[in-house]
Order: sequence, then structure tokens, then C-alpha cells
Amino acid sequence: MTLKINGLVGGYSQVPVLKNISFEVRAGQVVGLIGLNGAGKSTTINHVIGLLTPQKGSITIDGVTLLASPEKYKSKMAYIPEIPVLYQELTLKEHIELTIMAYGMNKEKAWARARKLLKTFRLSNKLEWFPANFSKGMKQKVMIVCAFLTEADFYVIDEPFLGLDPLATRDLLNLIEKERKRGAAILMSTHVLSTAQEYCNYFVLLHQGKIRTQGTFEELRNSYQDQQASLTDIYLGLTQEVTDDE
Amino acid sequence: MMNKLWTKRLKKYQKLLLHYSRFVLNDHFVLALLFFVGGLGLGYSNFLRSLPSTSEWWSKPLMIVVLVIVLQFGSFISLLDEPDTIFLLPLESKMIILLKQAFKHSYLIAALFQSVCFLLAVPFLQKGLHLTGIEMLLLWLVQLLLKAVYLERFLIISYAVNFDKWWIKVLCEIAGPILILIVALYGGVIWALLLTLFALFTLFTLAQRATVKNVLRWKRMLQIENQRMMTLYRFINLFTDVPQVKGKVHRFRLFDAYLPKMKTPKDVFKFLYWRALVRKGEYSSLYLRLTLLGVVVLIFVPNLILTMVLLALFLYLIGFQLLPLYNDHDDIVFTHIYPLKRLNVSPILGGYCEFYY
Repeated sequence: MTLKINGLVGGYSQVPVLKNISFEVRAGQVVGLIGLNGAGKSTTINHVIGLLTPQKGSITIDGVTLLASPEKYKSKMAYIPEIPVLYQELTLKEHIELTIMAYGMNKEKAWARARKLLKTFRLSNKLEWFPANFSKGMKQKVMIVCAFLTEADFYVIDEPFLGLDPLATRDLLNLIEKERKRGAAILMSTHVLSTAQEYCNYFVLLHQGKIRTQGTFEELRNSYQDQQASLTDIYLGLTQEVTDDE
Repeated sequence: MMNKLWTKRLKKYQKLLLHYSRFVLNDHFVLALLFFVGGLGLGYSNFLRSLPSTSEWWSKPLMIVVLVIVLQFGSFISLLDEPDTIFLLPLESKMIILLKQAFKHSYLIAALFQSVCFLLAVPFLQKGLHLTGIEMLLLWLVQLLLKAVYLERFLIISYAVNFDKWWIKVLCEIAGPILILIVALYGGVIWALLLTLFALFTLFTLAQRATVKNVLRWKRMLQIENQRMMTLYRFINLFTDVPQVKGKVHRFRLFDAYLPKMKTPKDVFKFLYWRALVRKGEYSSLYLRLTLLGVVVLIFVPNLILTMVLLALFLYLIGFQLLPLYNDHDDIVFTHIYPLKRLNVSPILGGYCEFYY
């Protein structure tokens, strides 16, 4: 599974937010999409999941664009949004049923996975509730359960740690690691740089709609010319430079 | 500063009311209202003419009931807003100024409404109860003061938790007024007036004390104001769409067994649409109302052809009103993320029609 973004120009209106973005996410890789508020992380993600259409450039999953085959493109992908999005009129159980059906999964196997995930995130006894009335953290857990239930080849995760309790954060990170080892590709945007440094094996640093730099942690350190620098140091340093230039 | 804030809010609120009043007081409604008021006026004048020269036993109780019902109109308009809990928090100690302005405004509106209603009752007070002019004037004052008691309670509960009890509410809004009006009509209006003055004075002192000793109960006052606004919005929503009125979701477990189960990925939209239709208040209540109205109309229309035409009209109306359901899930990202082809909604609409027959 490979996601390829090539020369992407795009945004919400005619004025492009993203300017010539190119990077790849390969199987067994967790790519961290790092950037300040408004750097273009969510816009990039919206393009990847197909909510926005590129103005220039292309996005392909295994060589398939969204336009060429929407079903094929989408069937490989699971998404966890930054702000939990839920159907008001569906119970937790029905959300899971819907996900199983939408991805055409085997019912028994999927439910077995779902039960395990529900137990991990302590939602087992809430199956008959409307998650739309849950707290932010619990809603986020529902999003996580529904996404990881699919065993997708490609996960798009937007700022997943906000509102999660420490236990759930740990469990989520374990899940991400497990899926990566299984061979899934993961694109994750986050502000929590210390976590990103530990769990991502490739980084794309966005600044004002452009890629400031990209590479593995080693490569970033090399280009920053400081072998002791943390991701936070590198990121702050690089954005500082650019901001000072203006 | 707080006075300025209040004026600004009041202007915004009045603008909102003006905006919606255009929809509420549309031509059809005004016409219907004119007929309704005309009919009511005619009925009232006939009723007055039919009254005997001596007082009937029921005229006093009727007057008490009417006055107490009228008293319920006009609530405390605080115009508090959700973000106030954050942005106005530093002005905590000055909030009483805002609330006093709110009280003044609410009272002015309420007193106006009470006076108009009282004026309408004057002919009956004269012919049915045989009150003298001075008695009527005093009764009017009693009614106005009772409204002040009614609103003063809100001012106290915005600070005092222990005053916020159901029995105090009943006492101030229903039981107390009934008692005082009984005194007014069976004893003497002047006694009732003194009693009300005493009650108001007591509440006034309590309010003074409550504001000094306690801090503002933000959440409770917001809850009261939100409830009031929702009542208003729900009324306006009968005439036009109000974004603030979001239908409530009810489970209706009873129907769970009949809702479509998922068997193939093709069922996804059937699954979603049926659940939205049954559980989302805005659709289920609309469907139910129109169906019931249709049934009632059909029962009372004997002509077969007319029945067919009406049936067609109701089917059309139900279908037309349910059109928003088609886009109901559009703002949920997963509807776009799921690897599905978007299916046509028509089989579902077909489903409604089958159900309807």
C-alpha cells in the first residue's frame, strides 16, 4: 500500500492553501504530519480522504486516484477525524454495524475485533447508548474503535490525542504500532511532538502550506546539524527561521 | 458599562424578534388571526349580553382562573448567553445591574400584556361581577403587583439556591395569586392589594439579601434563559425554519425490531435513512402529524374523488417535506469516506408510500 501525493496544490477556495506538496506514505510506515495551527495539515488530510479536489497535482493510493475508482480508493482507507463526527440517531452498536457493512467486512470476525477494541477503550457496556451524547474523549474513542475495526491498509489520523485520557492515549499508540507492524500505512497529524518523535518513522514538516522539510528523524537531525536535537527543537528552529525571514 | 451591554443585547434581541415576526405574521396567518379574533369578539359580546343582571355563582371563580392563567404569560428575559460564563465572569459583582435591567424590561413587557388582557376583562368585570370603577382599578393594581412578585422570584433564584424550590415557584406563580384573588373578589380588593404589597416587599428584602450573600448562579440562569429562548424558537419554528431548533433524538426501542437490518453493503443507506426517519424528532413528528391530519381529513370527507385528490395532496406533502432527509447525513464525513456508491433515495420514498397505504 502506498499513498503518493505529487505536486498537490489545493484548498477550500480558489486561493490555494497548499502549495506544491509532495510526499509518500508506504506500508509499514507511520508518517507524522507536523505543523502549526493553520499550516495546512487538515487541508492536506481533507484532500487525501477525498473531501477536497486537488487544483493541481495528484493523490494516488496504489496508483489509483479517487476519481478513477472511488470505491477502490476508499475501501483501503480508514479515517479518524480531529473532531469526533457521529450520527445523532445511531447507537454505538449501530455505528459499528454500519462500519462493518460499509466496508463489507465479515460480520463475525469484525465483531470479534470490535469487542476487543471496545474492551480496550472501556466502552463495552455502552453499546446501546447514543454516542452523540458522550464526552469529547469518549466520542474520540468511538472514532478509534470504528476506524481500527476495519483493518484498513491505510489509516488517516487527524490529531488523535486531544481529549483522550492517558490510558487511552497509550492504548491508541499501541494500536498504531500494531497496525504498522501488520503492514498498514499510517498518516497522522499531531502537535504532540514528543509522541510523534517516538512513534513516527517519517516526518513531513508543513509551514504556511509548503513542505519545510521531510525525512526520517535521523535525516532531520542531520539537516539541522544537531545530533542531540529533539523533534521539538528542530521544528521550533525551522519554523523560527522561516518566520524571521519574512 | 453594564447598562450599555444590556442596551446592546436588547437591541440585538429585538432585531431578532423583528426578523422572525415577518415570518410569523405572514399574510395567511394574519388573515386567519383576524377571523379568529373577530369570531372570539363576537362570541364574547354575545356572552356578555346573555348574562343575567345578578351575579352568577361561577363568575368569580372563572375570573380568578382567567387572571391566574394570564399571569403566567411574560417570563424573565435575562438575555444571558452561553459564552457569558467565560467572558463576563470577571464582571460577576456587576451582573446584578444587568439583571435589574432585565427585570425592568421583563416587567414592562409583562405589565403591558397584563394590562391589555385586563382591559379586555373589564366588560365582564362590570356586567358579570358588578365591580365599581375603583374596585377594578385596585384589582388591576393587584394583578400588576402579582406579576412583579412572579418576576422578582427569578431575581432571587439567580442568587439564592435555597429559594429555588418547586413549592416556592408554585406559591409565587399559582397558589399565592389564587389566594390573593380569592381575597380580592370575595373579601375586598383593598385587602388583596395590601397582601400583595406585603408579599412583594418581603420578596424585595429577600432579593436584597440574596444578592449580597451569594454569587450569581450562572448555569441555572442560563438554563432558564435557554429554556425560554427554546420555547420562543419552537413557536417560530411552526412558521419558518429556526437553526437553533434541532430536533431531539428518541430511541423508540419499540420500533427497533422493525428497522432494517444490515445484510449487504447496499443496505447502508436504507439503514441510515430509516433510523433518521424514525428517531429524529423533526422527521418522525412531521410524518406523524401529516399522516394523522390526512387520516382525520379522509374520515370526514365523504366524496370519493375529493378523497383521492386529498390523498394525493397529502402524499405529495409528506414526500416534499421529507426531502431534507436526503441530505441529512451529508455533513457527516463518514458518509463520504465509506467505500460506497451513493444510492438513490427513491426506494426509500417508495417505502414510505407503501407504509402510508
